Formats: sequence, C-alpha cells, structure tokens
Amino acid sequence: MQTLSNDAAARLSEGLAEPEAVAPMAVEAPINILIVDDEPKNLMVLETILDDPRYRLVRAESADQALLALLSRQFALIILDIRMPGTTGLELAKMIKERKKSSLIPIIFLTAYYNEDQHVLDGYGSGAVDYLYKPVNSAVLRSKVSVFADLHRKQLEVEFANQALQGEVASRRRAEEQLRELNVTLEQQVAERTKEIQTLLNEVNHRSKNILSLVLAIAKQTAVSAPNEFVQRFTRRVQALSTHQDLLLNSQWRSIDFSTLIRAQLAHFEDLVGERIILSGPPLRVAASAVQSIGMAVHELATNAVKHGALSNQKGHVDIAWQLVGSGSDQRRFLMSWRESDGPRIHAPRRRGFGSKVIKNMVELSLDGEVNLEYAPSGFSWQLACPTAKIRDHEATEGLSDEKKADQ
Amino acid sequence: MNERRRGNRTLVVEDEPLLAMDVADQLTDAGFEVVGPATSVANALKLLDEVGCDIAVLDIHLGHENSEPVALALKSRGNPFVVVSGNSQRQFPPGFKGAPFLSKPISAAALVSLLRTFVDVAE
Repeated sequence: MQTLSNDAAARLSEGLAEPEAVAPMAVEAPINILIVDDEPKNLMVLETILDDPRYRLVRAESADQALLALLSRQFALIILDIRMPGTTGLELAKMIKERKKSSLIPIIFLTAYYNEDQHVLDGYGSGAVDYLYKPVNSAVLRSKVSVFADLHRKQLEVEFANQALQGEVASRRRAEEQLRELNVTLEQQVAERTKEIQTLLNEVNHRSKNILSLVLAIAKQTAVSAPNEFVQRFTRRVQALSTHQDLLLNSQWRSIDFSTLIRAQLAHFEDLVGERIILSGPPLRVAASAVQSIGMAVHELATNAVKHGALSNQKGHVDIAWQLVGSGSDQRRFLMSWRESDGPRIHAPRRRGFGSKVIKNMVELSLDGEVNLEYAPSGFSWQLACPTAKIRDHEATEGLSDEKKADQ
Repeated sequence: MNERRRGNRTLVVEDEPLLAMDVADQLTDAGFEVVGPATSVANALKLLDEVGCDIAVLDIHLGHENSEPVALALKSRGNPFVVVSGNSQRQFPPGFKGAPFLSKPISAAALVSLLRTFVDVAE
C-alpha cells in the first residue's frame, strides 16, 4: 500500500518540504483532502465514498504520517479518526491547530455516537471543526466535504483576487513613484533650459551690441577713407561680416575649415578660384576667435586686388598659401601669404585707408602677429606670421590629425 | 567725481580688434595717450605692469574670459576706469559695480567727455 505521507517523507529528505506554491491553477485543480485513520480499510471506505475528480485524497495511517503530509502540501480539509494508537486524533488536531500554517484547515472528526469525545469536540466551537458519527453515512460525508470544498475554493478565489489587487496597488504605487521622479527630472530640465535660454539671451544681447558697434566703426572708417563710394564699400564690408555669422553658426560657433573661410570671402570671384586664384595649404580648423580677422583681411585684400591689383585686369593671379611651421605637434608658427602677380604695375598708396588698417593693424592686434606688406612693381604681397595657438582650434582633433598627415 | 588727474594715459581693453582700434583712434584724436589696446586679461595686466596708465576703458567680455581681474588691479592701483559693454548692468561681475558705464554701441564723444571728468586732456 502506498501512502502519500511516504512521499512526503521522501520530499522532506530531499529538502523539498516547501508547501506547494499557491498558483492560479489551484482554483481549477482538485483540492487536497487528508484522510487519517489507523485502519487501512476505513481509509478505503473513505476513498470509495469520496471518489470524485474534484478531490485528491491523501492517506495517512498515523499522526506522524499526517504531520509529514501537512508539511509537504496544502490541504483544504482533514478527515480525522479520533481513536488511533499512539497520538490520538484529538492530540493530532491540537498540534494541527497550533501550527500556524495548518491552523485554519477545517477538520471533520470521525467519532462513535454518544461518546465522551463529544464534549471535547464541543470545546472547539463551530466553523473550522465538524464531526461525523461512525459508521459513516456516505451521503452526509459527501455533503459535508462538498461544503468545505466550496468554502476552500471561495477562499482561494478571494486570496487570488486579493493578490491581484495587491499587485495592482503595488504597480500603481511604482507608477506613481516613477511619475514623481519623472516630474522632478522634468522640472530640473526645465530649470536648466530656462537658465540656458537666459544665458543665450544675454549672449545674444552682448553679441548683437558688439556687432552694432562693429558696424558703426566700419561705417565711420569707411566714411573717412572712401566717402565717394561709401554705400558700396560699406555694404560689402557688412556683407563680409555677415558671411562669418553663417559660417560660425553652421559650426556651432566653434571652428571653420580654413579654405572654406577663404572661399566664402572670395564668393564674388568663384569662377576665378582654381584658375587665377590658387589656394594652397594643409587642412586646418580655424578657431572662432580668429575667423573674423582672417575673413575681413581676405575681404579687404580681394577688394584692393579688384580695384588696383591682380584682379583688376584679365590675366593677373593671386596665390593664397598657408602653412604651419615646426615639427609634429609643435607647429608653433602660422604663416599665411597673399601674393599677386601679372597684374598692372602698382605703387604704394600715399594714404593708408581703412582697408590697410584692417589687413595690418587689426590682424596684428587680434592674432598677436606680424604683417608685412610689399608693393613690388610685379605685384602686391601680404604676409602674416602669428602663433599657431591664435589660429587653430585646439579642440578640433580632426583638423589636428589631418595636419599631422599633411606634415609627414 | 574723483579729483582730476594730470596724466591721461588711457589703457584700452577690448577684445574686438576693430572696436579696439576704433576706440584707440578716437582717443588719440581727442588728445589722449593710448596704452594698448589689450585684447585679453593677460595682455592688459602685462601692460599695467610694464607701462601703467592713469585711466582705463574696459570691455567686460573678452572672448571666453571677463576683465574683472583687470578691474580689480586698477582699483588696487587707484586708477579709475570706465566700463564699455554690450551686457546690461545687472549682469556685471561684482568687480565692476559702481563704475561709470557706457552701453555699446558707444558714441566717441560720450566716451571722451566721460574720460575728461577724470583726467586732464588738452583740447
């Protein structure tokens, strides 16, 4: 004869004594009923009466076997014979009620009619405990078991509903918490953005006033040195200035490729670039702070070339060259030159206008460099030497590696 | 206002080279002796050390730095200075508080007459 309490003992020795987890399936699954009697034939009688797919009967022939079975699984009901050798049914029931995990399992005692046990059973009170007289009336037993089975199923349903509800509450709390955190983050971001915008507005205020000052200075200087061509000259100069804004904006106000800067200022002579205007030099990122000086100088050089120099006839040439002098990363000097040839004969100007202030004084001041002007009869030339640090954008690694490549 | 000084050496601190040149030209035309212009803090402090000045014209924003160290150096030397800036006055660093201020773009005449309240210049 095989009892499930043996199975329970085996599970205990394997360390699998944990009660079966309550799974949602359990509501549909057959319920466990523990039947305890020292007489195997009484157990068989119970099994016969309670043969039903809704019930899974677990046999125990002693109090010990019953306790082992209780350790290994959950029961909806216990049917317990009072008269057993050794630990009696009443003593076993007391142990079951004292153990927290099993204290709520209802028990149906099997007892003899008009037995003194009746008084003890009365002491348990109603609800979790019932009793039946022997010999067992099968219809009554089935009816009572069915009541307890329904009760158990309802308890399970309530338990699942409760668990689902607690799960729902927990996930809502988590969601609320996440929402709160998100809100805090969002508020911080808004505060940061607001601050950034304020900084940006201050910067715009500062920059626009600087630009207006610059425009005013250019207007004054142009009015003094070229009163007859004021509007044309002034417009060109302001356009040259605005070219830098576009270039700088496109590069997040950081740095501009050197030849892009030069070409932008030579946009009016686009057809000549590569033909009569030759650019040569290594790839180089120009720092935003140097863009304006270089750009304006090139603008003034080009204007002069068109008016008096190599771009004033049909065959003159301009060579624009730049290089970094020194070895490897120690390229400390930046050299740039603008050399005109094949133009008309030129003479050094008698008067120094705004243009020459820009190409000499302004460039020297802003780049901490030296500018040499030569008015040779064969052509005008302009040469700049300054610290590389004043020109190069040191954060642009792309430019640096390109320069190194070009250097090798 | 402060008592007028005899010398009129004027340190010009302005990072925008064209503006620096423009201010320098205007001051020279008005009879001031210009020191600089300096386009950076380091440059300005060096000029103060090596040449010195009687008064200064200070732009606040110099590229990525501001000229507060120059303002403090001028204060400790007892040299007055005039602030020329595109920023509004409430954004000034503390070192510039209380200094006479001209908002960019400035008029040369206004700058010259403001400087003349501090130093003697032959007209």
